[in-house]
Amino acid sequence: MSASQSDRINYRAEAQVIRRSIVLNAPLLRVWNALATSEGLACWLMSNDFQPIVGTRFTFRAEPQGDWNGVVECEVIRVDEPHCLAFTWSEAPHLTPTLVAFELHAFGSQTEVCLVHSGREHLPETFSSVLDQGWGCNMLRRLAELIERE
Amino acid sequence: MELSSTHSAPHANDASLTAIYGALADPTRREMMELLETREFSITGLAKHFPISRVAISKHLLVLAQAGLVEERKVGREHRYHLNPTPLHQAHAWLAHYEQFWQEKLQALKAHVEDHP
Repeated sequence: MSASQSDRINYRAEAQVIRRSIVLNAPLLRVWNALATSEGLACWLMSNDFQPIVGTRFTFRAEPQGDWNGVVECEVIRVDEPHCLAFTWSEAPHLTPTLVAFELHAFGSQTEVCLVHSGREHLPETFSSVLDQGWGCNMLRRLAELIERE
Repeated sequence: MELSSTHSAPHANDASLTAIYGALADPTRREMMELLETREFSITGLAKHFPISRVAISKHLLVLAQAGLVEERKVGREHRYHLNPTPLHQAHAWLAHYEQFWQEKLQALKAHVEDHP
């Protein structure tokens, strides 16, 4: 097999972790409610029976597709209103769950949402590393501080 | 959640993914895989590229082989190893799927909170 650049798999992506952040033109509490309530999550993620109680299990439900029955099994790991929400995420009962974690930062009238979805090989150490050490989010504040120093 | 038709189901085989990630976690093994992608190598050939013993090379190859990432071919009396990329496609599929999934969902979150005071 020839390894063209476009086909080449990045072996150095040893961190099978997805990190995304997005700035929302909405106040912190409105964003928190969209993330930490069942009704809120249903509006943008998937229908669910989530409760913001650590240790509870819940499911997301989507249309079945292929050999996936459309159900994601989750357990609430952290609820630190209004800044941090984390739950496990598993597409099938036999699969080691992954971890989905949201961190919210208020910046004036805006809210920055940082997401980390960590792959299976990182568990269980990822729980502590992601939730306790943070992941270098809070971009708006850091940029503002850099500007202020000028 | 819409699964792109170009991706297989995001979970594939859990045991194999765990083995793949474990295999990829070591930098020496990652370097070995890059070599084995270019052509096949014997243990002797691999040993020229690393400051470690042949036994250590063999141990790394064993981990890679258990993850299905290398295959062996016998040429004469020599065993040669080459990369099997298929398992990596499964690992890559998880990442690619959820990168796109969260891209779309975070945009939906943005639309929801900005348009619904």
